[in-house]
Amino acid sequence: MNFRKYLVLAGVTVFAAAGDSMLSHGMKQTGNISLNHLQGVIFAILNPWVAIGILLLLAFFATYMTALSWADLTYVLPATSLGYVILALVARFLLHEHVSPLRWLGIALITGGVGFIAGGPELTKHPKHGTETALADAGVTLSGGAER
Amino acid sequence: MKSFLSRRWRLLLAWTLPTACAVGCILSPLRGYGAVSRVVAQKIPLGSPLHISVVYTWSAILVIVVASVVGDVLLARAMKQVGDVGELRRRVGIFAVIGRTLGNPNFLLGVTAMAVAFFSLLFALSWGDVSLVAPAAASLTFIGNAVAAKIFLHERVDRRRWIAASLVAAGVALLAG
Repeated sequence: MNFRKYLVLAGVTVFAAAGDSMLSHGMKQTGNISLNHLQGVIFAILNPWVAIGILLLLAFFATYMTALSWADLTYVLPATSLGYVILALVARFLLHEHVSPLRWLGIALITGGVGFIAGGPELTKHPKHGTETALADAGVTLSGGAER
Repeated sequence: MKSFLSRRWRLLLAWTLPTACAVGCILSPLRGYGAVSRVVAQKIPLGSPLHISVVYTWSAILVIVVASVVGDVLLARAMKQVGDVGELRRRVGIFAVIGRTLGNPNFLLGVTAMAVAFFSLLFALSWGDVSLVAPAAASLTFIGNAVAAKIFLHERVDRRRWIAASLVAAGVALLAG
């Protein structure tokens, strides 16, 4: 895990949280979309909040795919679940909404889960990955040994 | 070189718009539940006793969980087949990476599974309450993904990862409610 990879994981987290809240905010402004009134979709997309929300979610999808290309699914999903925490903290400190004790417990649990995952390896090493990962493994062990 | 470019443009034109729409409308409501309850304007009239709607809601939740787990597993497998995006981008360029991803059958199946999850979420929300459907679907998806990743992706889900997945699932259930 280098700095760039942590940046991608942070991108997944932030883009998902920001995209959702912007889309949700925009959809509340535009109102309902029903199947027999589909021109509402165009008005919805013209709303700047919805447009930015969709762009952010595309960025989320791109970063999520990037993360999945070099990390396990069981690593990426818990690691990026901090987005829920960000949303709750934004609601509390920027929107001054009430956050119940049960939700604070939820925040604590998610943070704990992320802490658990962060210490472990991000990718399961399969034998078929070949010499490249084997060399990386050896490199990691060597540098770890040197530090000790 | 010309045919090289035109093939790329065809790929881009053929996939950019549908993918943009699919990704935009599929992934957003799965995470931003506020938007979905707006999209589903009409409740589906059931006219049946309460326990029937409970059965309907929970089967819809089950379909959401299964579909999003299948989608996540397929997307993860697709990206493992494509390879390390950062490294690949330096070697063959960003457009080749995008083309390779969008041309991957697992990727397309994964997006389709995500679409199924989205539509079952719409059904679940028209039968059940958001405060039940959203946390139940989100937290069960975390657990389901851990199991499916172990079985189908052969990831080493050790004790550390089980604890992380369970803690996050519990936390999401509390937060999304």
